[in-house]
Amino acid sequence: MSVLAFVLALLLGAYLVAIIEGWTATGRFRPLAPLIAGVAMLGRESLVPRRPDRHLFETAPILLLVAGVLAGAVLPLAPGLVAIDMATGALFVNAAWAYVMVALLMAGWGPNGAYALVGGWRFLGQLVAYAMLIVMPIAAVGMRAESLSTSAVVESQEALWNVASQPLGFVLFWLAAMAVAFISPFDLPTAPGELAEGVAAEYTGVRLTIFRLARLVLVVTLSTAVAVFYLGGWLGPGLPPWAWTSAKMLGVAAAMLAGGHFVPRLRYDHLLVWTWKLGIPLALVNITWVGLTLWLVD
Amino acid sequence: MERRGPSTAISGARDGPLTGPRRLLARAVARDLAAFVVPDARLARIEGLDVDAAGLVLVETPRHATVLLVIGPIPDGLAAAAAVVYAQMPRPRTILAVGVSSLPGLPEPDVVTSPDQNSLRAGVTRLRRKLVAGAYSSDAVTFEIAAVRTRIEFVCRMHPEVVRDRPGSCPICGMDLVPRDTAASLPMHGQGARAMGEMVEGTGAPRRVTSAFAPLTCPMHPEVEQSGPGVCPRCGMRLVPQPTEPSGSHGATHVEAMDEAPAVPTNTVYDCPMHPNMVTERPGNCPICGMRLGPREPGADSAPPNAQEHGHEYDAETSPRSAYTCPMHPQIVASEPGRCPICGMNLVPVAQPHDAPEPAPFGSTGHAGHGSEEGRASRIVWATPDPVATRDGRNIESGAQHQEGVTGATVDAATDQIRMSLGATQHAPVGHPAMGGGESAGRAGLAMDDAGQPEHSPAAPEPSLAVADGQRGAIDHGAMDLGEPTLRAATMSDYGSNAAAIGHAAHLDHLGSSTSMDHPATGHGPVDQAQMDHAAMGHAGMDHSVMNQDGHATGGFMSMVAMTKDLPRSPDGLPMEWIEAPFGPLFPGLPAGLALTFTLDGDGVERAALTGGTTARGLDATWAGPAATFSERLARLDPLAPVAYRLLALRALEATAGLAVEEPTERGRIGALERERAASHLGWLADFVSLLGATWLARRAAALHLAVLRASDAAAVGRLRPQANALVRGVERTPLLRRRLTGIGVLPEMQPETTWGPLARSVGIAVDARAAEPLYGMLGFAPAVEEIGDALSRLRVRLTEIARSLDLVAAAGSISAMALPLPEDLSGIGTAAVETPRGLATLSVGLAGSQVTDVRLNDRPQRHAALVSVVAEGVEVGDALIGVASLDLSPWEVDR
Repeated sequence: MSVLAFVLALLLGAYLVAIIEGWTATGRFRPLAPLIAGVAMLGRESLVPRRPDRHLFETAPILLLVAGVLAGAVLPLAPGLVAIDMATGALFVNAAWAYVMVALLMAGWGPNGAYALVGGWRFLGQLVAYAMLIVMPIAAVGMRAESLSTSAVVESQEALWNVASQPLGFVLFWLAAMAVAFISPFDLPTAPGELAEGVAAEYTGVRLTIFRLARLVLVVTLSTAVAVFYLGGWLGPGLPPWAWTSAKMLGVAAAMLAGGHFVPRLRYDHLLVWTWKLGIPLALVNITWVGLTLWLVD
Repeated sequence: MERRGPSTAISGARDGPLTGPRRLLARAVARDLAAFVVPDARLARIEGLDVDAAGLVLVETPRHATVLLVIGPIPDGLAAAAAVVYAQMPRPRTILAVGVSSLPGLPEPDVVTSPDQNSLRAGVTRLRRKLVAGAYSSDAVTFEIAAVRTRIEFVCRMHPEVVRDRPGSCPICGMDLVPRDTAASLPMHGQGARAMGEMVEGTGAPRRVTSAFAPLTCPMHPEVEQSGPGVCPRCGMRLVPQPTEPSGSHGATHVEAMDEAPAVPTNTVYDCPMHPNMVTERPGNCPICGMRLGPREPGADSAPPNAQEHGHEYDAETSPRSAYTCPMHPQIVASEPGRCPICGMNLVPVAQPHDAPEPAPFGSTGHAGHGSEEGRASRIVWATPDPVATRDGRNIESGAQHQEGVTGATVDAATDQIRMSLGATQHAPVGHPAMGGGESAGRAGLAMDDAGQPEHSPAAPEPSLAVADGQRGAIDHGAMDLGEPTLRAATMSDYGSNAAAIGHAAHLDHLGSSTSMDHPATGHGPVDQAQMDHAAMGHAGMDHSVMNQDGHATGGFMSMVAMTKDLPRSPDGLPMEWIEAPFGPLFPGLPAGLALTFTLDGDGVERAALTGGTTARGLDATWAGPAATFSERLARLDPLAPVAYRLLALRALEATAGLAVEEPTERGRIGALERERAASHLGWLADFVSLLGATWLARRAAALHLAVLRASDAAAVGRLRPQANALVRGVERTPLLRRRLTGIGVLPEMQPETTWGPLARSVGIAVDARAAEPLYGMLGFAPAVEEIGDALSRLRVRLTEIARSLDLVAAAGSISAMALPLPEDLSGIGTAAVETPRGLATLSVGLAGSQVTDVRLNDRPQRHAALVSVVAEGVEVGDALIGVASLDLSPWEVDR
């Protein structure tokens, strides 16, 4: 897959996710709204707050975008249709997502604003909560595929999707993925209502456009990852493989984005308690379970 | 449609000609109208406006807004805040004024409409058209307000009090003046809050002299100084404004400054820019942070004599003489070997000070060599300004925390927070003592006013608290400092900052003998010795103890313990730079007009203060006048509950006249009052769940709020009952909500005389003025009571009251707050009480010849406002906001 096609696919996915996000937030289906909002954002001034840490302030949205794009690059849309087919793809996505935390922390520190700062700190706490839960389920997925190549992971689900063979890992990965993309109720760094957009509070114009786009790309890659790791990726009857991946990605994204509007935001201490006292033991159980089933099948 | 001159440009046009691509951008901006509402969406709904349905998208921060939607008229304080919001909006930006044609401090509104939904919708359409045509303009005007303006001025590097408008040389030392930009004053907005440097710099009128023109310096390396923002070249920390002496010649050396303290009028007091509760009668340095104390207006703060003498005396009394401490929990000090009760580690022996009889070295380290200075040169007064009302609850709470600190409990019982490991260890903080008393209010009072009115809060001493604090500081320091001398000593030298170390050496001398004040100037980096020595207090306590112990620095690494040792500490013991952040008056999660200042330690709120005054309208002066229109005047008191206040006035006047109210009239009044109560609670609910992040519930609550307000009669309100039931059920069934709110903002045990309304009913006190009214009894009224007193209890009380109030409206059968005709030439005194949505309001009105002459309202709003610090302090910022929001304060009532 050429780089251009990959970028276009990613942008298209981000656009579709933006439509879904608007739909779930307002209840109105307006397919043109993200386009208008995006152009309008470009039309507004790109302000620099007073006394920013200029480097961090400028870099953060770009780094967030880069993190999302890199993660997307190793996720296959169809057999052979992947920007970089890496033997360690499943590991690589984690490495890419790690920069989400860096980017948000920079966005928190850079603008010299209290709301952003608190938002950045909170995401640091959130990282501590989700970091293990994003890695450990992938380990179990890799065990079944006997490979960390994302394409191999999809092929390993030919007989049975991972969502059925390791449901526990699916749930944990799903929640952790929502936390990475700070989707409500894990939207601690932006916290509308509470921190007035937090890390995004001081961004305007082009920088805000990049930030928003990066966030959408992140949602796309995380949803695609859920589809690839657990929902059989391109596997499915009738439709062409790329369509299956896309449809699954959109379904996952819609479910993630919609659910958060009905529950209050989590407190980070509750989040930490749940992830460490409950989530990580469950992830270990999941790994054990997968190991046992593989051993028994053999 | 109004036009300004020949140009079609909007007031906030972007600079440049309207070219082809820009036309496209302008169209997009006009289609995607993001609006920031002033005062807020709740008041917009009270005006009957559905902003969302009018085509505007509500946003939370002015940075993302194109439209400043002002629902007017608004008080001057809010207009000033709106001007700051406007200044923060990216261009192209527009002002849409509803029900008001001009706003002080803001450009002329681009579109003015009357306050109804159709006009608003039409106004939005007009605004779109104006935007398309005028988003860009070649002669765009800049909008400047004092609050966000910066200007270049010239200042002497050695004598910061020398500030000139143009370049030149210093009249004192002849050095060339250097340029720097300065912020004129503090943005009072709650939007785009700034970190410490900026907050302090602009904070407030009284200290503007000292702090607004301060050059920036490093908190760790005071010899670093520059005019612009940046980071310290030595340690990379963000530079903060340096306090400067406002007048008089600045002592060339520390010796002079301390030993020959200039005679000052006795009623001029000095306080620390960072720690306003450090009040002394002489200039000097803050014993907490070492910053230079600045003068405060005379008479602003009365310093009670018995509250003086901090530091050394207490320290002397409480210095730990014991010899074992825990390496992790320095507050644990034992007289014999054993294990730490917190972590179980073996206690390690600590060296006794060389000069045991001298009390200072041990106890007062953190408070620096200043300990002795204070005793000699100045008297430190621990004052706790208390602007509002009783702080009983708070004191109890503080006391409890201190108790914990001393006994070594690790977890702050009040918060139920997970603290990081370090956080759990050091419970007895250093800087915290200074913060203890709740001087936040005082600080806010000092720091607050954008308009430049100094607001000094009356001081109330809290000597007992000071004692407790002193003890904690002493214990902590003693143990810590002695525990790890080398570690700390290493720090300075490692950074090559012998300058700083020397500055401290001077202090040390102080401490020991208080006479030998020679400055070993060896290895001093750059010039300004005086500067440095003074500013070096920034880290005062940091290596004092080191010097105490071995008098010299040894090599090693820069430990975080050392680096952060003298920073103020919260009860979790994790030292961080505290920042002051405004929340409000236009913060989306709080009622409009409610201006809070949180002192944040990380994301924990150490101090919370109501800055207030934003919604002040000087209403007290308007009460006097004809009795016939008094109810209309009083109804303006609180836009969130106009009916209740109108009714209060009517009842008081009727009581004066001795009129009896017939049942049909009374029914109509109950209908109106209960409709307002249901609406008020729904409006609160919409804001509250939006703060919680449950956006879907917020939309439903807002829709029902609007529906109740728009309902034409009692029957129509009654028909909304099923919808309300569904909403209440929806809230109760929302997953995680109960867990989110349990234990947040718990009100302390309170007497019925200090809380009223839903707040009292949430702590199990069934006070409700309605219970005394016979007609309410006939209509089937019963008060809603919960027991726990946390945010969840208050939510439940209000949910129950929404349903019951709707029932009462239906049972009353009519909605009308009709006034009875008053007799001619009415004189006398009448009293009345009304249970408003926020609790009891009582009024005593004196009439003479049908003129209102005397009006007395109860102080329930002010007392409730005092609960802000109770619910917000010592918890995570989100919890603090939820705690404050759950109080449902009306700033309009508080400020009048």
